Amino acid sequence: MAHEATHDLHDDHHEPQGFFQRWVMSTNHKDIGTLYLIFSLTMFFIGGSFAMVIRAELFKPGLQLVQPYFFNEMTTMHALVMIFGAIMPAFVGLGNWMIPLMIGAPDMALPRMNNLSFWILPFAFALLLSTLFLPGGGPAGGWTMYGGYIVQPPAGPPLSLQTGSLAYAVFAIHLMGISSIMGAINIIATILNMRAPGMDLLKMPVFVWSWLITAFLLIAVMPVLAGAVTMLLTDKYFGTSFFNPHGGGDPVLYQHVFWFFGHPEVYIMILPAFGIVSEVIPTFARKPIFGYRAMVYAIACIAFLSFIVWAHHMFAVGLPLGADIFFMYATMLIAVPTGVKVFNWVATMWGGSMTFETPMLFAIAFVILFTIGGFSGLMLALVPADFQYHDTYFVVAHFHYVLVTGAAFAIMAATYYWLPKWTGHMYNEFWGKVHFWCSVVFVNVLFFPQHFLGLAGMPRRIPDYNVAFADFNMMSSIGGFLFGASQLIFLGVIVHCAFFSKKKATDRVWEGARGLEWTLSSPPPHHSFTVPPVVRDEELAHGHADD
Amino acid sequence: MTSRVACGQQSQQRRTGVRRTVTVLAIVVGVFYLLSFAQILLMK
Repeated sequence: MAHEATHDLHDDHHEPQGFFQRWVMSTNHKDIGTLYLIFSLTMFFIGGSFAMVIRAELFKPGLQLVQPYFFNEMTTMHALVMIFGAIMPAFVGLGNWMIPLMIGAPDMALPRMNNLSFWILPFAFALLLSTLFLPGGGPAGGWTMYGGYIVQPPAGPPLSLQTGSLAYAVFAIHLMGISSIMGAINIIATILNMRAPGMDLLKMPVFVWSWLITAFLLIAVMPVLAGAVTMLLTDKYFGTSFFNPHGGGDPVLYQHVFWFFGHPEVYIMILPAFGIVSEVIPTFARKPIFGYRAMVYAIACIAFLSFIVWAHHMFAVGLPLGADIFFMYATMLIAVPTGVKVFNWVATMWGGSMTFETPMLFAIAFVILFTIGGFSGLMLALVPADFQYHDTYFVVAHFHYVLVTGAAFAIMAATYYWLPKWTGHMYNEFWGKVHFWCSVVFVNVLFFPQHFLGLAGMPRRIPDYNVAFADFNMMSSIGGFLFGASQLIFLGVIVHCAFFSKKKATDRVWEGARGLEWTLSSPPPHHSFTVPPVVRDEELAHGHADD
Repeated sequence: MTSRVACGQQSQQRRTGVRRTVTVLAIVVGVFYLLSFAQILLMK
């Protein structure tokens, strides 16, 4: 039936001609995936440059390079750019590229909406970044934009809080939210309707499962963020008092609404990373993933729990004791499905015929370092301990272990893993490994000392600090500069692979790779699976009927 | 216009499925947005 429907449309198989038509008007999932990934990489370097400003200022005690307000702008923009501009679009790009190939679909279900989802993003970020050039500066109240910092009239000289920067930021967030929701609807519609015959739900690769669950999270929480920031906007510019105590509002309400979005958002940034690692490890261990179903159920369980733990970000506001206890135990419960996943990754490697190409190195580093981030998360979940750690550098260390050595390392693993498939050429393994070792050493020099700073009481989001914290800060800054510089190697490896590499990639690329995407040529044709492929169980890395 | 091949909706069954899924999800998102913004009107 599929053949009958497509054979008379063979003229659509040609690549579109012309740069504008191909890259701006594209409805092809591969091209849009590439656009997302290029956008994400650009934002990664812009957000990284903000981080360099932060670490340069913190190199020594005292104000060195920037004014405190600009420092606050940098911390705010670094977070917004990295979260919404680098990590999330990278996963959407990977999903765009790989989901149709993995499930045997010819494209995303809604290709024109796919194009719109992407092209909203550059405008959203142009809007957000333009606030840095406004007369009073950009938003500087942290990425959480707590009402207390944003809504109340600032003391002293006029700051950006009195300019339009909040309105720009809120509009940018609305645009990002709309883009994410459209992307999520597209991914769900694709996975539920476009699978090749025989690709049952419990035969799908874990990466596809992780994205399906993530897409539901996006749909559930993005409207909440939109509502929260709109209330902030009306408080600031239209005289309402949702969060403004001057008019009887409650600033803590904003924290509740924000974190109801914010905590699932953390999982939006990590669940696809789990999926990637679950693809890479079986390939290089040359074994099917251990406990496929448990992996899928664990992701679903983590996603559910993410909705009932939001107030662990707010222990210090003074919640009722019952709430403290509920959110503490609910948070600790997340360690169970997460532990299942870590156990299964290790069990997949156990007894495997392992090789250590760059994607595998990043995946193993992910398992170890993400687990460190998970453990410090457990420490933060304890209410009495959190009173000590709250708003210190310990929190900064914790979430950077989760998001840099977790999410970002998984994105790097995915890039090395699938780059030969995308480009048709092998990347330079030597430089890939140099990138890995530099990254893994310097990221620890950068973030590990921040645990000690936090435990010693250094607050986050400050441009100056007590001299007692000087040594660890200097160490952290040196790690930061070197980690930042290491990423230029990553850029070099990608550019070399895409444009200069002479070494052709085979179709399967990796000896142990299993799944439909590896049955296509490298690079895949512009339109792939125009006729649904035959799914053979033995070709799948996981999801065998007897699993 | 995007061709049927390009958008991958090769069969009537797939087209119907995609339409149903998108309708349900659009309603869900619409209700969530409505709830989020209804707070603004109700609490004002």
